[in-house]
Amino acid sequence: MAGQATSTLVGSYGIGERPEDFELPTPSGGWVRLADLRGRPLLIFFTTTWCPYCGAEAPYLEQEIWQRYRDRGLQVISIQVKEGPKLARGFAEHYGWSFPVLVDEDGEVSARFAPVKEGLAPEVAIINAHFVLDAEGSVVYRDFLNMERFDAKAAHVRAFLDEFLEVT
Amino acid sequence: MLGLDSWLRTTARTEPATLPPGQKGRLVVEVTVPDGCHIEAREPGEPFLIPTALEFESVDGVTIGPVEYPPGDVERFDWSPVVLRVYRGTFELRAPIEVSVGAARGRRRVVGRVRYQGCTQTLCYPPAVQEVTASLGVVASRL
Repeated sequence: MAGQATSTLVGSYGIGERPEDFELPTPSGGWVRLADLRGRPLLIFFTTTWCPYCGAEAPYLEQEIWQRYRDRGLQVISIQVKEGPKLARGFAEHYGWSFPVLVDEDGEVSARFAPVKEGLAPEVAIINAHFVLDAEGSVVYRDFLNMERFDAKAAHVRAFLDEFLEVT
Repeated sequence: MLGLDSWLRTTARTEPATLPPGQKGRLVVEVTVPDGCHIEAREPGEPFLIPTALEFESVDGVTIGPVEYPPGDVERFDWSPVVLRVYRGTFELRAPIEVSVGAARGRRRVVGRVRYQGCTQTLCYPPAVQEVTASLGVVASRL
């Protein structure tokens, strides 16, 4: 499983760890707090508007993840890394996202989730990463962009969710 | 931090190197993308991708532009249903230049900026800007 395969990465939140609480704005001016999302599983997708892989995955995130698992209790949020609200809103509208989008304009929250790779900025290392938190807020799955095995339909995430949401 | 700033090799020149007032030439920026990497073309094919763009600061007595961009390579990635266009290897961006009739003689420093976003075989990097400079001599008209 990709989440297990990457669990030896330095930095970031590993499997079983509970990410520090954060609060980020939405493009429309609302605020979302991580702690308020506890009680149900949560998928966090880190993205930017300029990342070609994120754009390729964007429609499937709505169709294959959010629409497919929402009735099974999954929550989905996307965090726009170092992007402003205007671009974040436009991106979400373009791809028809109906789940919450959060704006991490200075990248501070995203950096906490990023693996430490020498010479690589956190905002680059975190792009196109997926984290799944369980109802208690602990990481149960994570993966980071691997262009050699990239799958826009996020089959690896769906495989995990199929199993995880069935047993919870 | 590792980024694209140090990636692109760029050179800029005017052709010819000198022009008298009232004459036209062109400005050429040669860009080289390292092997195995690409940057988005001028019309990359998706609305949120960053198109390569070249802009110049205004130069006294010289009109520059519009910039002409090559179409780029058609690229179909197996992960994308969309046909994208990218630049690889070495390519040129060109812009017509014209020295105004009343321009004073002397050397001009032409400063431009290439904005781009690119990927290696393993990572994509944030949009970056690279400055380019060229020199143009404005000389006396030949009689």
